[in-house]
Amino acid sequence: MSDKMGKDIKIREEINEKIKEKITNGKFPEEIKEFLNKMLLIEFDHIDEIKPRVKEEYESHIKKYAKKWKGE
Amino acid sequence: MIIDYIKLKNYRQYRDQTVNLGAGEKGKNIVIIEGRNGAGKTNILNAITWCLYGQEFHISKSEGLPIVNTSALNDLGVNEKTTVEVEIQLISNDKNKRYKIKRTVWIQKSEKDDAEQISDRYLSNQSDGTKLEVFVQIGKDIKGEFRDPAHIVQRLLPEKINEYFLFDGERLDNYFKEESGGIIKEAVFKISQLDLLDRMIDHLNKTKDEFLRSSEGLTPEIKELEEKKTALLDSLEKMKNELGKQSNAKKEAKEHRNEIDKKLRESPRNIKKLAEEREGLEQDLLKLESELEEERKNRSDYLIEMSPLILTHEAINQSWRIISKQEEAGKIPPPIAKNFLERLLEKGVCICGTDISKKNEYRKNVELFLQSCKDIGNISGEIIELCGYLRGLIDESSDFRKKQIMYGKRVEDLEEREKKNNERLKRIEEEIKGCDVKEIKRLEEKLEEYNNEISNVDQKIGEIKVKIDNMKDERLVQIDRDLNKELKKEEKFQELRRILSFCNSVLDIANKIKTEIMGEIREEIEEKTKKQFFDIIWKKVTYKEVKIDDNYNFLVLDQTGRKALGTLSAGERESLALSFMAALNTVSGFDVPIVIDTPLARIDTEERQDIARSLPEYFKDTQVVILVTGAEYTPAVRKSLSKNVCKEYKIKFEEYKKGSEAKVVSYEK
Repeated sequence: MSDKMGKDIKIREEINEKIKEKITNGKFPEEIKEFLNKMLLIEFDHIDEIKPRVKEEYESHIKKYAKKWKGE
Repeated sequence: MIIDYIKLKNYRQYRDQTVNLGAGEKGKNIVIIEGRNGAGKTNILNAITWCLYGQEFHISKSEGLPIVNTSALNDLGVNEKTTVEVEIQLISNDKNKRYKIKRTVWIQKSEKDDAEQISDRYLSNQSDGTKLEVFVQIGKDIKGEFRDPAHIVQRLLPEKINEYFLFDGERLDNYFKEESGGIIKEAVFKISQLDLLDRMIDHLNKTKDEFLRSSEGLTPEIKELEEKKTALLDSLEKMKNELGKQSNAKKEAKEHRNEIDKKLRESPRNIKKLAEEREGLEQDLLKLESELEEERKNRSDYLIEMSPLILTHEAINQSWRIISKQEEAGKIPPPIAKNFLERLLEKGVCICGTDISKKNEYRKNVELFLQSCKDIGNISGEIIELCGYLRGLIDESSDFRKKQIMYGKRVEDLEEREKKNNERLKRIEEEIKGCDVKEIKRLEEKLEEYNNEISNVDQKIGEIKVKIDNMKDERLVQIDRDLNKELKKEEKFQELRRILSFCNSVLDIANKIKTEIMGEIREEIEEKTKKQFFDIIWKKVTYKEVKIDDNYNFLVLDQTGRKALGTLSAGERESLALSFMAALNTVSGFDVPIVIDTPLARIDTEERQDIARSLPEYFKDTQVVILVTGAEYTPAVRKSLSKNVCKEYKIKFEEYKKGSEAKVVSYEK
């Protein structure tokens, strides 16, 4: 994980500690950790919207992380 | 996070008031605001919810007073304007972040002297005509004029779970009464932000399916499976919509129910039962009255019937004794045999040898004598008959005492019942004096209706959830498996397979995290609730266990293993509720200040002290603002809390000709 990406994916302090801890210490691939953190932040930004428009952000991140995915 | 201050301008009882609630030294996390009922305590809580969400959750919709301070309104001339403002500043625990939240509404005095809200499209930025402003200061940087300030507020203190940090002490035990399990589970889900994971899972699923749908060159088999999946997802969506509708119906019913509940809580408890009892007693009294009248009449009729007998009792007795004596002596009937005289007349010779065969003076004498005998015989018979009658009268009069007692007892019993009923009726009347019993009964019936409605909706929600789970677990999983098989058949789907595989892996992990956190939180909440509950209740031996199941239903077991939740006293229930609330807030990792209105109102004096002693422990490291009445904040309670109190205020309420005003002043003043 690059430093730049590290800064990008740092979960903001408002996200529940328990979720942060599960993701940070979970025994699963780094790209999934990064992806989960990213997506949670997106969800957090749209927390009070009933139908948030997040399709494009999801698509681009899925594509980005699936490229690196070796776990098929 | 703590509330640093609340500023109130022209808000209800408060004309111009700033209440500093900011933290004191470490360990002093409690703020006390004491005020009489109606002085404006609950309106501090309402001011907070109004500022944050534009709604006063703790006020009855039927309460007619306007939001603007009456004194401020009266100072206005017709068509003059003023503002109502509430401002709250929140500070993060590390003091690095400050959030200033302010809501304003414009009010104009109408020609009828009423307060009318003015919507100024240039000034207001909320749909309810108010203006909401948020300023965020991080370190030295200050940011304001957010496009959607309500969104910032929702992120900080979500409205949906506000009752878990801004709560009414008198409603604390409702968490165990109503269909609390589902609500608590939902709240834990939100407080723990597991809904973020849920939303992410949902969006990921949708995007994953979209990848598949929009891929080119799909085989007919894949297309067929994809269509099946789309149809299934459509059904799922419909069911989720239905679930949403039912949840809204439940929310609406709950709002009505809470509104009624609040009104009823201001009336004596069990008023419906009392009114029914009163009705029953009144009917019973009417019945008793007629029974009593009848019994009294029976008694007097009997006395009238018996009075000659009683008055002549001695004469009758004496007569009977005389006759009986004569009878015993063989004088009645007379010993002269009538047949003997008849035979003498027949033979014509008297016993002295005198001829009486012819009509002479001697025969005439014997005939006269026979006639007298006949009369004496008849009279004797009558006397003997009279003697029997007298005996009957004597027997009857000897029953008189018994019967008199019996009639008297009946009347006394009825009178006693009448007296008791009247006393009970008087007590009930005193208890429900000044209450509109008819209205309360109507409200109680309405409350029951809403409770039934909520329970019915809950059942429907449960059924829909089961259907959704079945669809997800069985049918969707199978379709996904089949799809994967088909995709593996062709090389060109390699990239799509990778995308789907990545999505599936993330979904598996996210679901696992969600389940794990939910389980861990429940276990921790159960453990902490149990510990805190047993730390403070004095009947430590009576109760053995506190359990919280997966659906957040509470179970308290006594030493014999019997369910004891229903037998907990008001104080014990509140202790359990507070233990649970504290556990919920510490375990779920949601850092918010807590405001409790009247936490000790329904609790006995001894239990109050136990709770007061434990409150600082319950909410260690969390700011707790407690709104209390003087009756709650006794010297003993004050002493118990003193170590942890950082600020102590009193609400002074004054009424003027032009209106009323409340002021929050230091406790000493």
